[in-house]
Amino acid sequence: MRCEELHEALVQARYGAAEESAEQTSHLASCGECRAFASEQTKLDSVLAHSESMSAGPGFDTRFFARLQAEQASNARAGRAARSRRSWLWWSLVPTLTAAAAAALMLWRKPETQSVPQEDLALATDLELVQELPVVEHLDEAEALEVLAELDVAELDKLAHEQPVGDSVKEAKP
Amino acid sequence: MHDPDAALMLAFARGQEQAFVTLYRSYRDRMVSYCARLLRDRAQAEEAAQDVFLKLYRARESYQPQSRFSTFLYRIATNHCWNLRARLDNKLVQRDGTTHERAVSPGRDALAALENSELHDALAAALDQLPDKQRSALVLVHYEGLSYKDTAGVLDTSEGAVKSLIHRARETLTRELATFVSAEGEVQHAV
Ligand SMILES: [Zn+2]
Repeated sequence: MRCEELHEALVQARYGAAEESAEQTSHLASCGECRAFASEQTKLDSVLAHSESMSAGPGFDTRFFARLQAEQASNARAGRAARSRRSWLWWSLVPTLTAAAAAALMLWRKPETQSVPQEDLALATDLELVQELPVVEHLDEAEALEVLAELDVAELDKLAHEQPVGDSVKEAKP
Repeated sequence: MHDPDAALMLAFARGQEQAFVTLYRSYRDRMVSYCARLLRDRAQAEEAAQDVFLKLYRARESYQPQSRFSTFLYRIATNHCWNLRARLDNKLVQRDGTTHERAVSPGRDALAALENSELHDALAAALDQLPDKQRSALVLVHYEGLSYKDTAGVLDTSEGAVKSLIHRARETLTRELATFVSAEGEVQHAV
């Protein structure tokens, strides 16, 4: 066994990554250089012990949870903004669809995602993006379902997933 | 692999905020300590440890329990501290128009500390001048008590590479701290 190999093995043994073999023991007994290395490594461990572990100082928790809360608040604001942007995108599609198709889309999405969130509807109304909405509202459910049956389901699926509705979608995850 | 912390992280992903608080409490001091050894001062380490927990909070939906939870968290901390160090070094270079002394004059900090006869400072300086990967491997194995395998997971490398990183780190430290580590004498304690 070469001295260099033993040096590596001694370091690994120090961290429980290897066990000392009989060959190593006999080499160590007969090699002054390796004994000096082993002794040096023990001394290095004593030196390394002079770096003490730290713990969180006073006020750490308060500062952390304040940062977390600030981030959550800003996420909530960003989420509302993103939802309003998505609303705009979604509602801007309305004129390109037929009124009936829009109605079918809303009804079709309802069981899973509670349709368009109320705040989005309010926002879209505010932004006057829902010119077609009264038409949508005047269709009755049976009529809409008939239209739905004629629509391309894959196309609707695609549209529905282009307009995620925030938390209600997340909560639906297992 | 039974890993209660991974189970807590999954519970957090399902919306149980209390599980996050439990993880935070159990890893808080370890993260502060780990970041302190990878960075340069306490305030920086505390800030970095908080960043790590914010990143953990954000990672709840993408978390996949492919490795131990602790490996996952140490990996976030390691990458974050490396980025911080790189950014700080860049700033230093930009400010003086020269390379940071840590790079051009290895051992200078350690020598200065030796002159002050302060083992504690000399050790901190010697650890500081190790390359990032060597320092992280040594700190993970020596101070954090991780196995070579888990350390390899944190550093995204092989166990063989970890062995070599540890060996090189200890060789450098033995050389840099030669005054304190001498095969002939006892460990010299600082006054
Ligand atoms: Zn030998």
